[in-house]
Amino acid sequence: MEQRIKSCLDKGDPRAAFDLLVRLYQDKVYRLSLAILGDPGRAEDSAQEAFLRIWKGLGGFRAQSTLSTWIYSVARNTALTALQSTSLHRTHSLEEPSIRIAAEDYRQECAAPARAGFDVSALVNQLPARYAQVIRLYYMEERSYDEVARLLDIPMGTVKTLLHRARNELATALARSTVKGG
Amino acid sequence: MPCTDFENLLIDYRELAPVDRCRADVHLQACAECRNWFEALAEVDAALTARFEGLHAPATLAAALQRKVAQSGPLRVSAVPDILDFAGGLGVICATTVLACFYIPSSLLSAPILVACSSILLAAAVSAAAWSLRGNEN
Repeated sequence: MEQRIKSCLDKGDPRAAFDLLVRLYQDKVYRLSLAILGDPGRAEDSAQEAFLRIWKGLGGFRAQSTLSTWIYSVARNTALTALQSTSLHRTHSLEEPSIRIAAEDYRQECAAPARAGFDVSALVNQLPARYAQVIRLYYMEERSYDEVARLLDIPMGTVKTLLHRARNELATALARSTVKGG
Repeated sequence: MPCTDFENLLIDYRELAPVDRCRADVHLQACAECRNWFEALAEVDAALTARFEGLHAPATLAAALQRKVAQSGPLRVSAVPDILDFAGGLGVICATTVLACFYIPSSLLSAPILVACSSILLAAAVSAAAWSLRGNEN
C-alpha cells in the first residue's frame, strides 16, 4: 500500500495518495493520539489536525524517511503539542500517591463488591503522562513492544521499563484499594 | 506490593520460561500478599485489554478529513524537482566554478562570463531557499 501511495505521488496525484494514506494510517494515527492525550474527543481532533498537516506537506514529501515514520512523527508532534497546551501535562513522580488515592476513591464511590466494575481508564489517567502513554499504546497495539517503540520513537528498553513500572503501579493501587475496601 | 525477589517474575509471568513460572507458582501458593497483588495485576491486564485492544478510528474522522481537505483547495506542490536538491545543486555549482577557474583563460573573463557566473550563483541561492522551504513543509 505504501508503494501505491508513493506511486500516486510520483504521478502527481496527491489527492489519491492522501485518500490511500488516510485509509491505511487512520487507525494508527488515532490510536497514537489517544495514547498520548487519553481522551477520545481530543484524540480525534488531534488526528484530524495531524492529517491536515500531512496533506499540506505531502507535495514536498521527500523519501528521506519512510512514509510511515514521517506520518507517525507528525501525529506524535501534533498530539504532544495539544497535550502541552493544556494542564493535562502532569509531571508526577512514582512516589506520588495520587494513583493510589484515585483507586481508593473509586473503590469508596462504588458500593459494589471489591474489584467489580473497576474503571481502568480512570486509573491510567492518574499515572504520570509517559507511563500512561506507553501502557495505553501497548494494549492498543496488541502488546507489541516494537510497535510502541516505533510509534513513540523511544528505545524498546525504555518501553519495557515504563510498562513494567506502570503495570506495577496499577496492580499495587488496585490491590491496596481492595484490601482497604474489604 | 509483591515481595521484591518475585516482583519481576510476576510482572513478566506470561513470558516466563517453564522453570521460572514454576518458581513463581510455588511462591504464589505460599505468599498471600503476592497472590493478592498478582490477581490485581491479572485484573488490570484484562481490563486494559478490554478497554484498548482492537480500537479503531471513529468513522467520523475520514469524513471530516474529506470535508476539510476539499475546503483547503488544491495542494501546492513544490515546483523544484528533486534534482535541484540543495546539496547536489551546490556541489555541481562549486565543481563548475573550480573547473572554470582552472580552464578559462583570464583574457576570456569578460563581462558576459561574469554575468553567467552571477546567474549560476543566483540560481544556487534560489535553489537553497526552495530546499529550505520544502524542508519546513515536511
